[in-house]
Amino acid sequence: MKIREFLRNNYLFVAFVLITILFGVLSEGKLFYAGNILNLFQQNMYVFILASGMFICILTGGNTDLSCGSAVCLIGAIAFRMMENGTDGAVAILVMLMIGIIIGAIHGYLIGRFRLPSIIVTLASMSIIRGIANLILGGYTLSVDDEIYLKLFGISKGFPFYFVFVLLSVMAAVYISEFAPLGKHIYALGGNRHSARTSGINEIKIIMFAYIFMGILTAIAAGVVTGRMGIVGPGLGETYAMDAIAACFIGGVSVSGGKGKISGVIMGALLMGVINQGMSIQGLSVNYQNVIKGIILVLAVLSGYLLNREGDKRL
Amino acid sequence: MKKFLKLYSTEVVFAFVSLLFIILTGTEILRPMNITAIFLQNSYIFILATGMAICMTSKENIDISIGSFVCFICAMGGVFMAVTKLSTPVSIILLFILGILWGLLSGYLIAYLKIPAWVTTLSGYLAFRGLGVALINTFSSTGSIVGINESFLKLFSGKIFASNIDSFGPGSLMFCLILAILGILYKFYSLRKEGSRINRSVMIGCILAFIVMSLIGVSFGLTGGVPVSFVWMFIVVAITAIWIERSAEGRRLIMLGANPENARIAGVNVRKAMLMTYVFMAVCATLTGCIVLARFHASSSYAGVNFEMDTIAACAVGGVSLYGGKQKIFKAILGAALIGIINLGLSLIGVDMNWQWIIKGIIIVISVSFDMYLKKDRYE
Amino acid sequence: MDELLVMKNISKDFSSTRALDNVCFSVEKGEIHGLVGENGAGKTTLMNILSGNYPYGTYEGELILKGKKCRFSSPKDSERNGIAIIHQELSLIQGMSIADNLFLGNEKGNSFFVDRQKTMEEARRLMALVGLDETPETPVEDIGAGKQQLVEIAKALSKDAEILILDEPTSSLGKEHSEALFRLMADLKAEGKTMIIISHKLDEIISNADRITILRDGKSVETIDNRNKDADESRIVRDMVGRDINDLYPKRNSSISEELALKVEHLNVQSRRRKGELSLSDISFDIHKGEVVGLYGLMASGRSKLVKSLFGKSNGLLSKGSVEIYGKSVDLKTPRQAIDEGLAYVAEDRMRTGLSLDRSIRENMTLPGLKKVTIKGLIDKKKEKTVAGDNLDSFHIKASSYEQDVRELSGGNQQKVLLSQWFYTDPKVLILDEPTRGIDIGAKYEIYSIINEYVSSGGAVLLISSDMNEIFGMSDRIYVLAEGNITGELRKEEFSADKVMNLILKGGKHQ
Repeated sequence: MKIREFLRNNYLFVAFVLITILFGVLSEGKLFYAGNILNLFQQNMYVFILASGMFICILTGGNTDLSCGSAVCLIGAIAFRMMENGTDGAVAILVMLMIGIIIGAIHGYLIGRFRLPSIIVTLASMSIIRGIANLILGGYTLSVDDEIYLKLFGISKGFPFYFVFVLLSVMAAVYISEFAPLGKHIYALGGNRHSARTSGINEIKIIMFAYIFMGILTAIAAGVVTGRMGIVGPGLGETYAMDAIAACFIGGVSVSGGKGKISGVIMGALLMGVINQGMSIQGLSVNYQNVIKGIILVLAVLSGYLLNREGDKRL
Repeated sequence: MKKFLKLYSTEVVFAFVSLLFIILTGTEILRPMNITAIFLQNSYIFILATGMAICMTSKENIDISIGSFVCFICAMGGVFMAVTKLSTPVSIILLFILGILWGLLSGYLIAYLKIPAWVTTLSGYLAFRGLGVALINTFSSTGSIVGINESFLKLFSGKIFASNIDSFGPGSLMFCLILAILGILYKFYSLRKEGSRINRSVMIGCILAFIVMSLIGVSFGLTGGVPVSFVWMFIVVAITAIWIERSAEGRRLIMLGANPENARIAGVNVRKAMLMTYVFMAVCATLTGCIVLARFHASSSYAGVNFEMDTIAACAVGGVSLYGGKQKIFKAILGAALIGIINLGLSLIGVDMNWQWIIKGIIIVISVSFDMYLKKDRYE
Repeated sequence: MDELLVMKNISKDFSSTRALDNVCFSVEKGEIHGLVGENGAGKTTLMNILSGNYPYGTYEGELILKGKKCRFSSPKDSERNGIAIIHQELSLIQGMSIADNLFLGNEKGNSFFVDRQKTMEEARRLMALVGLDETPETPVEDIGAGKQQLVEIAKALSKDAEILILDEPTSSLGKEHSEALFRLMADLKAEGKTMIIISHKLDEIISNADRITILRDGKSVETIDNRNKDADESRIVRDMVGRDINDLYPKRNSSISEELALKVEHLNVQSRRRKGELSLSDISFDIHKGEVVGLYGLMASGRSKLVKSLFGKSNGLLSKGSVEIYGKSVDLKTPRQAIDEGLAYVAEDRMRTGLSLDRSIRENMTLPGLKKVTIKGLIDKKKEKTVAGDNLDSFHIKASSYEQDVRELSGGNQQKVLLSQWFYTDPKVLILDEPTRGIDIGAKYEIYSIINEYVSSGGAVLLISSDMNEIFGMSDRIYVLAEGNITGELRKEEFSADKVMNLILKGGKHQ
C-alpha cells in the first residue's frame, strides 16, 4: 500500500504538517503571523543548537547531557560577571567557549574513560553547575551592555548573528554525521559497540569528542540566549536539556544510539517549536505545556520502537 | 584493606562526614533540636531512598520522577481534601491508587516495552510537576492549596508521645528504646531461625543500634515527642529490609539484579519483578507526598524539588550499585542519613543553599566512580 | 617449500585449561590451508593468536611471517602485516550500509571528508569481487546472514590482506553461496593470496584445500597433503576424534524403562536472523525413563537453540510442536512453566547464564527450586543452609563455605554448583548443555557419576556435547543434528565416529 509506506517513511513530516495545521486552526491563523513565526525561531534557537549536540551524544550509544541547561546559565553568568567587572566582551566570549569545552571534557572523560552512566554523571553535574551558577548570580538577574557581546549575540540593529550561530551548529552536526569519517565511527559505536571496537575505533576519543562538541554548543547557546534578552538570571535553562532530548527522539534518533538523522532532529525541533508556540498562543500555562511535553517524549520513543519493531531484540 | 573499604565504605564515609560536621558546627549539630530536625526535615529521603534502592536493584533502572510525583500527590491531596472535601480515608485511598497507577504505567513502559528508565521517568519529571503546579494554580490564587483535613494532618505529621518542649518526655525515649529492642529481638530471632550464631559483629551492631536509638529517643524527648514521619520511616524501612532479606520474591529480585539472564532461566519472571519495583517506588513517593503535604499543611508548588537528587545521592553513597546486585537497604538508609546530616549541617554553618547542590553532585560522581573502580573487572 | 607463515611451539592456557599445547602450524604462500578439529580442539584460539586478538605476551611460542618474527599487539597490528581474519560471529554494524561497513576504520578520502564517490566505486568493485549483488547503500540488516558473510570477506579484502583467515565461512551460507565463495577463493589464490579456512564441513575442505591440518585437544595431530583433492575423509575423522575412547566414563547399571519421560514431535523453531525461515524444522525425538540420550551436532546446527526453545522459549523465538512429559501434553511458554513441569536446563555458558557469580553458593543453589525452601512466601534459611551444606558434600564441591561467592570457585566447582541447583528441583528430565566444558578430568568423572546416579534412580537426561568421546561414553542413544534437522539416530551398538560424521554430512548435502 503506497500510502501506508509513505506514511511510515515520512511519519515525522506528516505529523509536523498535521500538528501545524491543528494549531493553525485552533489559533485561527494567528500561528502564521510573521511576528509569531519570528518569535518561534527566536525563542527556540537554543533547541536547535543544543539538539545538534545532543544528537551526536545520543548517537554514540544513548548517552545524554542533562546538564546543558544549567551550563547555559552558568556560562552566561560567568560571562556577565566578567563584563560587569570591565572585561572586554571578546575575552568574555572566549572564556565562555573555554568553560564549555572544559565541562564537555570532564563529561567525556567520566563517561568515555570510566564508563560511568551518562544519566548519573550529567544529573550530578547538572546539580553542581546549577549550584555554582546560583552562587555566582547571588540571586540577581544580571544584564549586559557590552557592545561586542550584544552585536554578536543580540537582536540589536544590524545583522542577526544569532541566526548564523544556529545555522553553524546545525551545519556542524550535518558535517559530522554525514561527511566526516568520525561520523561513521560514531554511528558504528552506537550501533554495535563490540564490533566497532574490533574495527579499531577508539571509543574514548569518540565520546570525548561528542561531549566536547556538546560543550562548545552549550557555550554558543549561552551566548545566543543571554544575548537575545540581554539578561541572565537564576533558573535560566531549566527545561533546555529536556527540549533538546525531546527534539532528538521526536526526530527519530534511536534511544540506544546508532540510528538517526540530523534532518529528523531539525524537524523534531521545529515540531517542538510549533507545539510550544501553538500552546502559548492558546494561552496554555507553562505547567500544562510541560505535561504535554512529557507525554510527547514518551510517545516519541514509543513510536520509534513500534515503527522499527525492535520487539524481540532484547528479552 | 581494599576488601574492608569495599564492605564498609558507606560506614566509613558516614563516620567521617559526621565527624566533620560535628567539628564544623562546633558540636551544634549534636543538639537535640538538630538531631530531631534531621528526621523531621529529611524523612522523605529515607523513604524515597528505600524505594530507589529497590528500584535500582536491577541494572539500568532508576526513577527521576519522584520529586515531581511528590508535588503531584501534594496537589491532588489538596484537591481531594480542600476542594472536593473528601474524607481523609477516601483521599488517602485515592492518592495511593494514583501512585500504584503511575507505578504500573512506568513499570510497564520500562519493563515490558523496554523504553529506557531514564527517558520514561524524565517524562514523569516534566509532566507531574507541570500537572501539580497547574492544579495548584487552578484551585488557588496564592500558590498553595490550604485546608487539609485535621485527621490527615494528625496521621502524617505532628508528634506522638507529645511532651512539653521545656521538659523531658520519657515516652519518646521509651518508644525509641522499644523500637530498638524489637529490632534486636528480631535480629536474634531470625539468626536463630536460620541456624546462625550470634557473632561479634552482630553484637556490636546491636549495641550501636541501641545507643543510637537512645540518643535519638532522648532528642525526641527533649523536643516535643517522636515525629510521626519518623514512625512511618521506620515502618517502611523495616518492612522493606525484612522483605528483601527473607521473602522469596525479595531473593528473586536480588538474583535478578545480580544476573538477569541467569534469573530468567531459573524461572524468575524478570519483567514482572521490574514492574513491581516501580510500583513500590511510586508507593514510596506517594507516602512521601502525604508526609510532605501534612508537614506543610498545604500543597505547594515547591514540594519535592530536588528530591530525586537527594535520593540518588543517598543511594550512591550507600553503595547501591547502578549495575544491580549487592546492596543492603541499611546502607541506603545510612546514605540517606548522611545526606540529611549534610543538608542540616550546611544550613547550620550558614552556608549558601546552593552549596548543597554542588556538594551533592560531587558526592554522586565520587561515589559512582568509586563503585566503578571497585568493580572494574566485571563491567566491560 | 615456500613457507609464508610459521607458528612454532604455540601454547596457551585459559585459567586451568591448556587450550594449545606446543602446536606447530605452517602455511605456504598461495595455498588454501584447511584447519579442522572438533569443538574445543583449539582452532579458533590458534587463529586468534595469529590475528592479534590474543596479543603477544598472552601465549608462548613464536610467529614467523616471511622469515621475520612477529609480535602483534592488536588485531590492527596484524592487519598492518597483511593478516585479516573473518570471525565466525558477524561483526558488522547492522544499521549501517554495506559500503560504510566495508570501510569502517579505513574510510576512503582524507581525515576530514569521506569521499563518497570513491567509497561507492570501491565498494562496488569489492562487492563484485565476492559476488555480492546488492547496492552499496543497502543497510546490512536488510540482507541475509549469508550475504553479510560476503560483506565480511569483502571487508577483509579491502585491507589488502595477504593472508585471509576464514572461521567457518560457509556456516550460514546455502549451497549456491558456498560454491560462489569457493570460486572466489580460487580466484584469490590465483592472485597469490593465501587462505586459512577453519571449517567443520569436511567435504568442502577436501574439495578445496591444498593441505589440511588436524588439531585435537590443543595439539596438532598431522598435516595432510590434499593437492589432488583426494584426502581420506575417515582418516581425518579419526585424527579429529582419536582412536582411544578412554575409560573415563563410569559404568552405569542401565535400567531403561519403556516409559517415555520426554517426547518431542514436529518441533519447528523460527530463525532470529532470517525472518520467516526456520532454524530448526520437524524435530522429533524421545527419551525413556532411565535413559541418557545424546544430542550431537556442530556449532551451527542449532543444538542450544533447540533446548532453549524447549525450555520455555527462553531464547524468545517462536516455536511450534508437541511436547509430552511422561505422557502429559505441555505447552511451555516460560522457563518457570518448564521448571514446574519437571524440566531442568543446565546452560552451556555457566558464567554468563548459568550462575550469578557475585552471589553466594547457597543463593545460587536454591534459585530455580526456590519454592522448595519457601514457606508462606518467606525463605526458610535454615533449610536452605542445610540443603547447601548437603550439596557441598554430595557434589564434592571444594569451597570454604556455602557463603562464598561463586566467582571465587574453580571452573569445575562452579559447574558442580550449577548442576546442584538444577538437581535440587527434582527434575523429571534433565537437559545438560556441555556439562563438562573447561573442567579437569577428575571433576569430569565426578560429574559423570552424578549423572549416572540420577539416571539409575529414574531420571532422564538429554546430553548435548561437542565431545564425541563424552557422548559415546555416556549416552544410551544418540541423535545427530545437522543444519537444523535431525538427520539420524544411533543405538549404543552403532556408536562410531564415522557414522556420526556421515550423518552430519548428510545434513549438509540436503541443502
